Amino acid sequence: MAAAESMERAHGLACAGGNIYAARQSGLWQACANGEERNLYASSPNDINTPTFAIGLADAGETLLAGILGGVAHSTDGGQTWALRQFRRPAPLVTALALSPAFAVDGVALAGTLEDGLFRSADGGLSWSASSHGLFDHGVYALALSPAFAQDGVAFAGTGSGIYRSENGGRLWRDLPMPAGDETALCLELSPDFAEDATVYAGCERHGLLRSRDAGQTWERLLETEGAVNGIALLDGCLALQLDDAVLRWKDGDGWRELIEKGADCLTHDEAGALRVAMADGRIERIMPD
Amino acid sequence: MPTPKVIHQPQTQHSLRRGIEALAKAIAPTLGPSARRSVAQNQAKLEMLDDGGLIARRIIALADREEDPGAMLLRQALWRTREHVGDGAATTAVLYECAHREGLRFIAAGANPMRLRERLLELLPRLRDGLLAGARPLRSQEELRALAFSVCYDEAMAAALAEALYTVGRFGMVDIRAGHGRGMERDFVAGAYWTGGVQSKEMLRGWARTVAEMSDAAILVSDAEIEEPAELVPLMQLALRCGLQDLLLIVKSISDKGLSVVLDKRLSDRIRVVVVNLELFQPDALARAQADIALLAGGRPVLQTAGDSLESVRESDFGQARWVWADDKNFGFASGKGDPRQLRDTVRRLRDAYDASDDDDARARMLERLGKLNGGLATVYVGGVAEDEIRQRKEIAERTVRALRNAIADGAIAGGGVALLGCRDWLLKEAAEAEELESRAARRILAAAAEAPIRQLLVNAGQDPSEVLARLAHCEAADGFDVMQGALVDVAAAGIFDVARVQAEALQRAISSAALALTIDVLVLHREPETMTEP
Repeated sequence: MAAAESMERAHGLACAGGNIYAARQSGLWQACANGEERNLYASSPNDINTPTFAIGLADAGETLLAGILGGVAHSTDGGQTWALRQFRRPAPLVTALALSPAFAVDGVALAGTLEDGLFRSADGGLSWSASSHGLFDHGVYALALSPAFAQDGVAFAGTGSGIYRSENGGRLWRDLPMPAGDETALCLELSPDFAEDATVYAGCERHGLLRSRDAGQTWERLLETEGAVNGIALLDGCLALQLDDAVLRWKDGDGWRELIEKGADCLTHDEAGALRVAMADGRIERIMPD
Repeated sequence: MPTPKVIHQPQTQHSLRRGIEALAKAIAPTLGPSARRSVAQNQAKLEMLDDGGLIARRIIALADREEDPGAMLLRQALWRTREHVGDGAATTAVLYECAHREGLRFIAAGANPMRLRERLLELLPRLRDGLLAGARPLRSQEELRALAFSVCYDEAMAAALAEALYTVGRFGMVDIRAGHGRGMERDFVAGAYWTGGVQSKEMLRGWARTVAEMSDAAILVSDAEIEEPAELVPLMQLALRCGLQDLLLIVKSISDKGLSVVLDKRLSDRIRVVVVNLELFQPDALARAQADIALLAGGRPVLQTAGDSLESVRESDFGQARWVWADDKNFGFASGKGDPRQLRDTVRRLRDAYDASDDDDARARMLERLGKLNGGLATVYVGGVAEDEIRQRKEIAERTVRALRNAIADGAIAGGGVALLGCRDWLLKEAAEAEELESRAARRILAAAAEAPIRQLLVNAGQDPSEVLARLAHCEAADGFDVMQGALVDVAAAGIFDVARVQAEALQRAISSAALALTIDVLVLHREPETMTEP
């Protein structure tokens, strides 16, 4: 199915194994190298044609988790077959998914929900249990795991009223001191060298872009904005962010530059270092920031 | 009936000494992983005890009334240590006995007891600092498991409790319950729960497992004592007007007549109401529970004590939670719709107050509240063959949980008596240089005390303390003796830890109490000594 036929807005975007995956109202879509998209749910015998809000990928796209209403859809064969892993009632809406970088070994995945806090799986996504110890706000919008998660167990969760950090693999959460006290953190991004530089970026609904260089203990405001920072992508030598429905990039010595004026739904970066932006008309743009 | 008796020196110290020795010798064998046990005769039963604090609790008086004061002085120190930090009674007993014994030697050699006490108390902060110099936080579940084992000496219990504390954290709630099997089981519960069951079995009808479960339910908490059906009618009318489908009504009590309103089919067809009561709560606990429920679920407690009535309830007084449950004993909910900012601020204030407080009861109350506000709790089921065994294992589990909390808060030090032994050399060096008799004596007493716990551990493990201590003298500072393996090891690397706060408290309590005992000159023995189960 071609991208133009879907024409749906995307809630999430992720890249793995040379493919791009988009979480859309009609399900999880995969964009292939030729630019065509196919609905992965529709290819499943179960035909779970369900609105999808978050994506988690491992094993170059062989393992797929899709955040849906009620739990996650789970595939271990690149989306050929799916199983629905339901969380406890009442059915939570899964808004964020994060898989351990060592998922193939430790099988740890975290799921953030709109009203029901966090859920954790330690068996590759087969079973999930509530993991909201220490979390005061159960509206979770963003999750980010340390690149060395398997060793340091560090994870961050952005909620409606602040950012939380876990140091034990997502079991126990501790609220972090924020500059304005109660920022709604819509997106989080960790430096690829987090183990060395302890740098975390947070995009907020009202307070712009924040950066911490000490793993969340203190935060500085990098950019004050009137709109919401809905997405962050760290690219080689530059930082891209989605401000409302525009996309900007920041580079040392060059400052901020607008890449897309309007119409962006969400963004990520692919394995080649290009920026991928899902547009409101269903297209997925590829932009080399330079 | 014995007559009152006044005892003077030197008989005073002899009497005290006999009492201290009697109790210390009953408790010292319980120190360490290869500890021996004591047997206590409790009415017709014989009780196997391997916890120094419990032994101290069982010995409420010695038969010899001249020995009794010494034993009771030690017992009070042991019990205070246990009450304050949850563990460390055996270490306290060993340190106390040693400091008292050595102190008497120097007093016999001419030291002034009052000055000796002053010197001991002057040295105590430095010794405590030396003991805690190597304290480090325990980060991993495996480290917590190793520490838990050093308290409970039970692999299964250590694993379950370490996982529980690792998950819920220092301020999290770990509910220790009697299990049905022989082993240990653990469960993690989302949200919080309180004691207070549903008021009618009718309310459990239609649910599996006799637990009423509701999604996106409204919650109203009140201190109302409902007697008449008419009191509930305005509230039910409001609930219907607000379009509520599920309501958890938490009241202080409700009569059968009052229940008839919510069980009436005409109402229950339109709204599902589950009523639970908080009748068993004391007034203070009731106020805390009401405040916590409102904090977590939102809404406002409707308090008759503040002039409210069920007639004056407004829509904004209802709280809400995503998942609500109630059975015949408890009720709880998860993902309440309270203000997260208010919740966060309350929890921060409670944590600060907990750390600043010295009042054990107040700390226990704050910990209970923090556990409920934490977002989830752990339940550990302790099994066993007989009821007595389960009860004993539960007590040990509770002690271990407390030790783990202390270790997460203040860290752990090298175990097996190594951390304290490390202070011995500087004490002896300073003793050699001290000119005043009491200064010299105080340092030598503390040097002997620094060696006492490891000596006792070795004795309990059937090792020769002199030989092992001689071998340790030629090892690295971090090395100690693993009594389970019977070998010299790097204790930290081998996962042998002691809780920093427990060891510091044991040291402080033992030395200061023993120093005080050394200054006692006269004993007045009454006709019938008072016996107290709580020292």
